[in-house]
Amino acid sequence: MKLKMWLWVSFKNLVWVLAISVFYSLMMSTEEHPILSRLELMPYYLTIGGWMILCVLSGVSLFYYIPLSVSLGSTRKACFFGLQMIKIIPCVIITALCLAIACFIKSDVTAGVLKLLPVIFMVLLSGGSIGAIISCVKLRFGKAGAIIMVALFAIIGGVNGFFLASNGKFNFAKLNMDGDSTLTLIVGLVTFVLFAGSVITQYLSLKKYEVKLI
Amino acid sequence: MSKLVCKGVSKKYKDKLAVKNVDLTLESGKIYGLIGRNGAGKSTLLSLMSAQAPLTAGSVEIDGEPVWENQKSLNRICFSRELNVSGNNGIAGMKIKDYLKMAALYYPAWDAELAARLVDAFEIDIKKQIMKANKGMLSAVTITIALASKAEFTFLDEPVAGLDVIAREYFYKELLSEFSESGRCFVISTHIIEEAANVFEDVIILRNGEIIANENTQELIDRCKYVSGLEEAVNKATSGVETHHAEMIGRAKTVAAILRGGEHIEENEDVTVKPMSLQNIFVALCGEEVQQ
Repeated sequence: MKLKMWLWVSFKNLVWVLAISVFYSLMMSTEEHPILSRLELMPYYLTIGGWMILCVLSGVSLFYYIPLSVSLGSTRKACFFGLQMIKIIPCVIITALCLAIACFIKSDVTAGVLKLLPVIFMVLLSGGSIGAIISCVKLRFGKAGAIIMVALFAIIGGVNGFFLASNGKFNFAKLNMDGDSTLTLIVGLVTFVLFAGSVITQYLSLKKYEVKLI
Repeated sequence: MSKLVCKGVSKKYKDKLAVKNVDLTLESGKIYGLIGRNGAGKSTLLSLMSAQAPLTAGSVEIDGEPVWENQKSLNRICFSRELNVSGNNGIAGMKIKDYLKMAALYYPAWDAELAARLVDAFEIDIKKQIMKANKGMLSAVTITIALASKAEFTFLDEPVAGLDVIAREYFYKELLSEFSESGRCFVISTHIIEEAANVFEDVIILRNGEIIANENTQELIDRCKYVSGLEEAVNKATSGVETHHAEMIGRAKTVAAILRGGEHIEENEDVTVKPMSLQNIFVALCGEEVQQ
């Protein structure tokens, strides 16, 4: 397995997440709330930005790095493990960054972040997993399959998000869960299903993968 | 001497059998020419031999070791593919220097010095994105990857398609120099047959996914002859001989005769026997019969 290559891809994805999050911070900063005072909200931007970016980049990898790797003589098995690396490594590092921010900046918001760390990790992982599933479906069923999957995820995500928000179970603005373990459990379960789904679909997609174009 | 052996290799796409029951042995220390019409299955066969596509049936082995999902065998193969410039998928957005870096990472015997020399010689602008490079530059990149990989079995798919004459000459010179130094096995698929004919030690001709000729290039050229003259005289002279690509102009007939061991066609006042070039042989074997 070309560990160096997959590490490079993981860090490249991470840089994208950081760039988007910093961009968000700049966009949201005002005279009243300059960027430095928004640092405590950085974990929030990292989670939301990370979710989106990892969703896209994890999906793109199947069409970008897999044909390249297989055409340069890599086994499909090595590529499969590489794909898992690029799903997990950025999540671990972003979660660690959130932890670091929470440790350095003491406030009510960052206190909530410390409680939310497992949720942050799982949310990020679910983003990468959703992207991976959509890309595998696109590979197998073409664009129509991908559009159906995106719509499906959007509906499921929207309904669940609305349900959680309307019940006041999860307030992103406060980044405080008030010790609600039910939410952690739900997010954990959903993430597990998505991650397992992404692992299975990626395995099936790579098992007999054929390079057509690089 | 290392051998890459294909046994009963077939590849099916939906209802179409792209490669049909191919038995083929490639030996290190040889340059093979792989020729065939568009859609004959050349690229598919190269993909199958390098495990870039799964087999429908058969097996591919190097010195008894399977190639499929076997890193040890894959480290000995390089199939430098044509690069996609459409920008929809793949590495079109990647810079050439990054692609070369990736190749250096993957091929265990990568020769960075040779790669740098080829980049200079072909005047490859490594800062360019693949999708922005012209066809000649893309061909030069695939050649650079193939030669610098130092892989024991190196396959090149249409390597000279986009190159000008000078670059093509340089490629053949570098190929022969690398070949004589390393004794690697090269398989080169090309449509520019005449130009490459002198380089091929053996030639493999594919038609509709089947190998119809696989032998020493000179021996094949020696046993293929154009026989022409009046129809009756040509028919008489070629009786019992395998003939192809008959062309009629009035009462005059020309056929390509492929002689088997011991067969011989005597030239006389009624028939003329002329040698055939590899390209002529290819046209005779793969072209349609023309009657005028």
